[in-house]
Amino acid sequence: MKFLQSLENRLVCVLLIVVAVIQMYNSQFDTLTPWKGGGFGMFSTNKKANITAVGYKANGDSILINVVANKFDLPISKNFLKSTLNYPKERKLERLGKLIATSYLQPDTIKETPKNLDKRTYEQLKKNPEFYHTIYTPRHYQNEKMAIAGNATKIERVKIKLYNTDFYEEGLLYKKSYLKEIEVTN
Amino acid sequence: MLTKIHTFIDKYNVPLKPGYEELIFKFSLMLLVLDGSTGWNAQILMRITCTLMLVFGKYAGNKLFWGIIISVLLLSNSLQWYMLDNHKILFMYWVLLLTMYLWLEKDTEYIRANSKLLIGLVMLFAVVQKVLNEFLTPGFLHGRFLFDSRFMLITHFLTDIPVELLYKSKQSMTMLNALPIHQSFVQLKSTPLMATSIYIFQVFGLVVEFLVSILFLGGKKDSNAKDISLIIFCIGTYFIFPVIGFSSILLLLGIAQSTAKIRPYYIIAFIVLQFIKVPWQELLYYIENASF
Repeated sequence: MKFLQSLENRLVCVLLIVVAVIQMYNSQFDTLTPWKGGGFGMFSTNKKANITAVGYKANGDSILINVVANKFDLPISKNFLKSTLNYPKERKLERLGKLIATSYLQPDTIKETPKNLDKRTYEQLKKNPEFYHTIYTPRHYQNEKMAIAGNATKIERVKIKLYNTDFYEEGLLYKKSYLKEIEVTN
Repeated sequence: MLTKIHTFIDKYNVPLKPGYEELIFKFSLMLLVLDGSTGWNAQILMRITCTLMLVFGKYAGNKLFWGIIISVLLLSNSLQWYMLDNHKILFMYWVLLLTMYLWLEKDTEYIRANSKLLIGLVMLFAVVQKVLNEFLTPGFLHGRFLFDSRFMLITHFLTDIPVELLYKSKQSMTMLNALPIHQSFVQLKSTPLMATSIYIFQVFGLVVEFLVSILFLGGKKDSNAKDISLIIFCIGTYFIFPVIGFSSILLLLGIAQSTAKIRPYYIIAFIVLQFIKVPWQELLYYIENASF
């Protein structure tokens, strides 16, 4: 009885502990960022999830896709993308892939390749200029005519790749490491 | 009809005692109006309900309204849990505490004891998470100051690296984020002095945070040491990391658990911390570069 009384008196603190412990479990053993989810891990890590996408057209050509949210939240909403980056679960990545695979993709030319990228990446970019010269952004068009006028294209399938970005004191590097990938077909 | 609604609402009014009770309830309502919720739907409801409760003072302790506030917060926060800043979650616990205080007719000791514990727990979890992740290794905060645009001007002042170069690195990182290339990287620029001073600050900050957690979890309820440590932590931390929402809720919890003697210092700290909003970095940059 006394225990129940003291539990009632400290119920809010117990709730905080339970939530924080679950959050810590998910951030240590799953992909949840320590920054979010009620575990009070803000400013505890520089690791951040990074999502890239490569689309494949019906003719087999591959294109580089910019995974960003858009105005009016179409086709990708800001909240969904933010939540996916904070906790990139498989089903969220699949949904993201589906959203990209079914939307129109608007091309944009990459005007300049940054000089302070590492040599290997820089050379890879130069070696495959067709792929890296243009980046496609998922966009919503009210009708097909507008999409064609905007040079937008469609893809058959998309490969969503999940990376981690982190800072390394040795060499002062901002570096990304591959974690996993999934493929979604339209 | 209106009279009936009025009578129904009035039935749930709990008159707040002047002083302590009135201060923490009205302070909480004010913070709910300013920064209590996330998303336009919850924000509109908070602004209307809490402003009216503040303006018509007799409703500031209305059990029914506090019940509505916590229900909206719980629903709206649970729908966007993985996007919420931690101070919004802490604020939700605080509102839950106040609502339970009213509905369960607890005494003020209930609020005091729980808010003291809440501060201690938040600080403890913040320390544990830092230890579990890479905060103790040199470079955590250093990196933050090099790639987080909120701190880039501080980095510029400490290192003399031209701002343009720092922002160029930021652009390169944006580009890197779009590339599907494993082990690709951007090399950033800094100085050994910057690395050392930031690491000292990083370790010092962690020690203070741990000290605050110990004092709040294990210290006596009327000890001034815990209050002084929290006020120093808030002022020392939040002028560099300008998270006004977190400092506000920590100070509100500080007020709620403190003795009447130390309470004015929390209010002073709250006033001082509003100056976080001054764009210090930009002002210094302007003074440094403008030709008068």
